[in-house]
Amino acid sequence: MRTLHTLYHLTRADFFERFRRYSFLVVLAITVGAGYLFVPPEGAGYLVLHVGLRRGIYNSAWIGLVFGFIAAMHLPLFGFYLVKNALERDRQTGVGQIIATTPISKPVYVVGKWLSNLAVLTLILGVLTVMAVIMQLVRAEDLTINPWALVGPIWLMGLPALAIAAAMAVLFESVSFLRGSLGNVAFLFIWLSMMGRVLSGAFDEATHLAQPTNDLLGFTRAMADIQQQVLALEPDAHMGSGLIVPVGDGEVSTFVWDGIGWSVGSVLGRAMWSGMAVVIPLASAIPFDRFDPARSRQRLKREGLLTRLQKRMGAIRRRDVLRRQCAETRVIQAATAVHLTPLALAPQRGQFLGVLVAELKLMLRGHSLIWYAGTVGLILACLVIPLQYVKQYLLPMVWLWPVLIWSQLGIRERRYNTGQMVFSAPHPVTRQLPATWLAAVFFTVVAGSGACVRLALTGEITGLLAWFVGALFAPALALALGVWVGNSRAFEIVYLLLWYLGVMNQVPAFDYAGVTPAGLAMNIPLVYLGLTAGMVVLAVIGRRRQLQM
Amino acid sequence: MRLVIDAVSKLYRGRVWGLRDFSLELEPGVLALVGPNGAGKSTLMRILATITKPTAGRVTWNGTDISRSPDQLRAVLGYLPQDFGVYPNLNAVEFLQYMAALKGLPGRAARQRIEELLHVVNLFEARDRPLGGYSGGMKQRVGIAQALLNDPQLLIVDEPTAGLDPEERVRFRNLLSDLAGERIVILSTHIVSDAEAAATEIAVINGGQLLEHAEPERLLQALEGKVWQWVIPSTELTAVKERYLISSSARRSDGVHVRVVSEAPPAPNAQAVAPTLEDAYLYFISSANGSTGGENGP
Repeated sequence: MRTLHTLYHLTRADFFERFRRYSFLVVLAITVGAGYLFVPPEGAGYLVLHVGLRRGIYNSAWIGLVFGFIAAMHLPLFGFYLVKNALERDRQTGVGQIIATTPISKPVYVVGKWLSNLAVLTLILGVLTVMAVIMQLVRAEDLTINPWALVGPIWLMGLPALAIAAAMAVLFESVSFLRGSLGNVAFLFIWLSMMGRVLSGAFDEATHLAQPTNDLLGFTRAMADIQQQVLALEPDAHMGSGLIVPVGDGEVSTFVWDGIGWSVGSVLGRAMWSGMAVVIPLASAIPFDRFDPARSRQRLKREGLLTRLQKRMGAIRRRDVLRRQCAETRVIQAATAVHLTPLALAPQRGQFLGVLVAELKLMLRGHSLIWYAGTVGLILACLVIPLQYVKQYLLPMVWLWPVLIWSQLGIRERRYNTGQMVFSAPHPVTRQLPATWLAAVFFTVVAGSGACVRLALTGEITGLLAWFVGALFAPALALALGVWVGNSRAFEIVYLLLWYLGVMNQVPAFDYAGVTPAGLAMNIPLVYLGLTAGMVVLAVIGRRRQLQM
Repeated sequence: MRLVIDAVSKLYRGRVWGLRDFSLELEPGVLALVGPNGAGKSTLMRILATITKPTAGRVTWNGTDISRSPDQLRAVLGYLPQDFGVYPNLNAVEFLQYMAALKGLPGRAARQRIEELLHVVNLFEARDRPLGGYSGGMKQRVGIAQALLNDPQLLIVDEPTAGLDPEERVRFRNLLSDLAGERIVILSTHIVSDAEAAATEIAVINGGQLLEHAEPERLLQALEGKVWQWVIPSTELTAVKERYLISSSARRSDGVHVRVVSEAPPAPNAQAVAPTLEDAYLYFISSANGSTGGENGP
């Protein structure tokens, strides 16, 4: 009973802390906006959920299903990034160390955080549900509200997926190497590959008919149900389906769909997924360090390989290894008068290069040896491997590798609380901010120099120029989002989706790096060059705003 | 060298005033800003450090409005915030090199300055260790060092001795004394002894308003004949605390020795004693709050 009481208050406090933030209002506003877009009117130019370009009329069953699909397939992805800060907040505010001194156990703490994550995501699901009702009334194709047909799919499909995402967020925060940007990138790949697996395994290749199973998303059961109803109306109908597709006027036909026939077994199947989600936070309690700074410091030492090497070399030079270790335990000297020599040379203007070098050094500190070796390996591999393999396999890697560098842009001062010192130095907007961006551009060019040289040698000058546009664009996007949003997650989501669509799947409109002939032919890199300028301007405005608060 | 704070106000969200109509003129010397938590000290310092802009009023540095041309002041500014962080993967030298680059210090001058500063703040031996492994006091000393990198004409230090051990506190006070002279130093603290040791002027601030601004001697003069040493039975301590402003008390074998700030002697056996800045601080703050030691209070 006492455990439940603790759990309740832990969840409640954490939920209120997040719910009362201004940024959460923005999230709810985005949810409302997205809910509106999920039910497009005739002539909108796109369709959400179709089977052979047929959609159900906008009755409770169809709108519930559309929202259910969105809630199960897309909301968990964004939800993960939204709630993956519950432990981090306690770590940064120092509340974690206070909690660590209380009798609360690690499993109770992490389960409380999971419940709080789930409460936040459930609230968003609730807002989506209300929007579903509103959109049915707005589109007015069928004004009869059937509560179960509307709410059933949204909650039975969405809630288990959200429970898993909320639990994964706790797990990723508990495992030290998944806590930062690496974890954010890893989750995107995990989720996309899981969705790909569900979708690819759902359909029979010859007939395109879905095979109903109890998958996490609840996708196959719903899709099989729709296909059966469409086939009953039109036995020769094409069964190809999609969630969001562009359509022309008059291409879409409608039919009346009655909804999924939820059996007790299928409802239990959905509940089973929610129950399984509990296992994940309980497992998270094992790697969770209970805010022990000593364990963080050990990690810091492991990460700071260059620093350790420098230290070692310095110690050998001074032949004074012991002195290196005794700073904390030194004999306290008597406090004496202290004198500081006046600075002979006044600070100078126009030290941009110095700031650029300093930003570059700061950017490259603190990574593991594997990361440095990987960067060098990538450059060398691009130089020696046949060009077709470079384009096929290494170029996507070149555009992914610097994500950990880019994701620091614009947020470092807030993350490490150095803003007051950095921003009170001269020219924080006209010198430090551009230096940060250009340092990241420089690193991007260096990391991709192998591929660059290959493109130049084969005379692909247009591709090379487009490549440079990408090298300007990605850091500019990171800087703008970092300055305005204040964390790296927004950039990581936006950029990785861009990368997935543009570089991996070669969709011309998203080809910011000039990797597709179609994108080059359509002058897409020029669009991204314009966007780069826009992002830099946005970053400058954002930084000025930070200084005027 | 002249810093003028002219009718500055700062209104935060939720209509909370951080500062209200605050005016002060400063010339070279050490000004100690004292006041209780939430008095507006940090707000004032952030405005002076060009981090925040005032809602009303203006601050000029040698005649230039720092809101309009902040970089002119930033070039000669050293600022130690009350609450700050460091980059955990850098060591002290690398962090100071980074800050020196931002402040526009040329490489060689920066290297020499950093080495001297590391000796001054007693971190030379620990200079190669990542800052993430530093204790709170060591990080505070890194903060002090970065504030002094450019030999600032205006040095603003917000609670600089927080987290320092007694020896380092004394060392820092000595450093401040050494620095005072051809620069303006603004020191925010609620440790009155720090103010007493280093300040040439003291400003008492509360509720976002300036209560008093004078040299320490003038503040002490204002309390001449208003501070009393009084020995009372321990059973009367609670009642005395309710009636008078007590600046300190100590239990002894003959009773409790209380230090009372009061216009008139609290009892015939109370003896007048020399006031301290701590007495003066309590006196002015209590006067502003209107909660003063009962019938004989200020």
